[in-house]
Amino acid sequence: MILSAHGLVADLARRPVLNDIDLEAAPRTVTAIIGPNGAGKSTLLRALAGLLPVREGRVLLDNLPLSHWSRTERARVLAYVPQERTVHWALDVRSIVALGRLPHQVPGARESAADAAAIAAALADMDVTHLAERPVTDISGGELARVLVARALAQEPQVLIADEPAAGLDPAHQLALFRCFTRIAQSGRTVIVALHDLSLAARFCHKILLLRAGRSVAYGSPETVLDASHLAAAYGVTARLHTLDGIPVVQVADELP
Amino acid sequence: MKTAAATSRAGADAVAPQALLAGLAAIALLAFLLSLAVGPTGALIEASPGARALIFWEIRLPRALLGALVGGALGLSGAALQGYLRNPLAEPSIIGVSGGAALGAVIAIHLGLAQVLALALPLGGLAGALVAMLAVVFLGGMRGGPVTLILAGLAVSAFATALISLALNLSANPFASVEMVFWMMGSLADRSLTHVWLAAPLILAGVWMLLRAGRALDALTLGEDAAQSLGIDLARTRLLIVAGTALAVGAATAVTGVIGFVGLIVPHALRPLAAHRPGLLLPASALAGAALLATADVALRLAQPLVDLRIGVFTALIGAPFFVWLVLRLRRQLAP
Repeated sequence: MILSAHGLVADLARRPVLNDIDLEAAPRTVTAIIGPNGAGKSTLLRALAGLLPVREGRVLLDNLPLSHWSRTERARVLAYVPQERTVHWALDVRSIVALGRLPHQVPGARESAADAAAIAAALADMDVTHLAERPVTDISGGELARVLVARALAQEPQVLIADEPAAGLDPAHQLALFRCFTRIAQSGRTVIVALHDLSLAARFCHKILLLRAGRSVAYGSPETVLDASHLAAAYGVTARLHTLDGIPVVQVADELP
Repeated sequence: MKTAAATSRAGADAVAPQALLAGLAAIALLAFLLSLAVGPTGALIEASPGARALIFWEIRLPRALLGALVGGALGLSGAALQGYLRNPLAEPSIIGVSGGAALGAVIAIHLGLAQVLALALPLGGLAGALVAMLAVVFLGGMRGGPVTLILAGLAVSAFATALISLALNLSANPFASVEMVFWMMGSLADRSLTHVWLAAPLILAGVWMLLRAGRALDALTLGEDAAQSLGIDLARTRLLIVAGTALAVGAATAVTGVIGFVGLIVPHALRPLAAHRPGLLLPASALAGAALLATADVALRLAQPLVDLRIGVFTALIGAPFFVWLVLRLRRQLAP
């Protein structure tokens, strides 16, 4: 399913946060949203997930405005992982991941075989099967981050939106996370992630939207967006995209004077 | 990170959901039957046939029904509010409805209506609960997070407390003052089936609304954005919680007065057994609340020849030490 934004304008507390954003995330692609702190990445993702009223412009899911989707139908095809990683009760890890099945279950129904399979696959994908019985309050921050992504995977969405899912993960699990996103995309689904690690964006994402102060600085392939002039304009740093042993790496040298 | 052995596995204390609910239902039924059987005339009600029927229908049955209904309403509302506000310290009185009900009843006594019409007390309580709910909804809004609801509830509670103090202060008749104070302590004694008919439909409507919020409370474990992305309608959830609590607790308080601690302690004590799942905690707390209040009322009746205690005082007396124990246990768990 295609998720797209057209001329998006959104406010937070009556302050404009997003201005005239265009984006089209297609199946089989991973789209990265990057930009400095406060650029509007999280606001854009929340607007794309239908969690934020949009002042102008439209968000289309499968060519239909988000408002035309019922809550449940939308939740069956679109999953969202918030940046904030709070879990309020000491549920065990498996029960948290099982919450991803809510949109697929009739109220009061017991867990079906399909539910159990989706939960098991999600736990395995995020390498948290061994934590299944542990209370979420007892695991580390990086483990919790993976559990929360697993919850969204258990939802078996066509479109996955994740806000800084890689923050706080060790390098091995960052790679595993993005390989998983690549796998999900290859199976015909759409992935949109906000992130700060430019090298991960360069390596794993097909399209990048670079935001600054709520406006689009550049949008396109990693090679065009991660251009030195764009990075200087957005972040105020001198940075360069190059290839090390065949792997694209963004090297940040210095702040601009 | 060091944690107590009790929390090292979330499922350690948990029981299968069906077994938990069936067990609690059996305990609640037992407590209800016990409540029907205990009284000064014994289990078989040793009296003349006419008096026997009268004692059963006018004394035992209303008291047992109200104990179970009110206890269930308090336990369930406590669990629902703790789940919705994501705060283990929330209790039904937090949204100001019991304060409003108490104020309504106090005004009925103050104006002398209670002497003219026996049902003026519960009707005044219902009116007070309704006004308090509308004030909370108006102040806190139907959207927004838990904080606006807590603040609106606090404001309404504070206002109700101030007006109750004013009524006590202005009361020229010391008997009216004593009646007000006694009423606020909460009691199941001397209630008739009319009280049950007045409160039961409202309590059951509230219970039905609160039980429907279970899925939403489960999803809210992940926060409001994630819950919404799982298809949960937050405005509907807030309506179910606020109106459900107002109906259940407002009607309960209107007929029995203020009974504290049940709504705080029951969900707290059951949470580990319900695997910390807020949705499962709802029916579990309703059954356990019914069992607890019915049993407490039986204990009170057995003690009555020695000491005449009001049930609100009794629940506070057993509730406060339990709460101290909870604090100490939490401190041990959080100790470095």
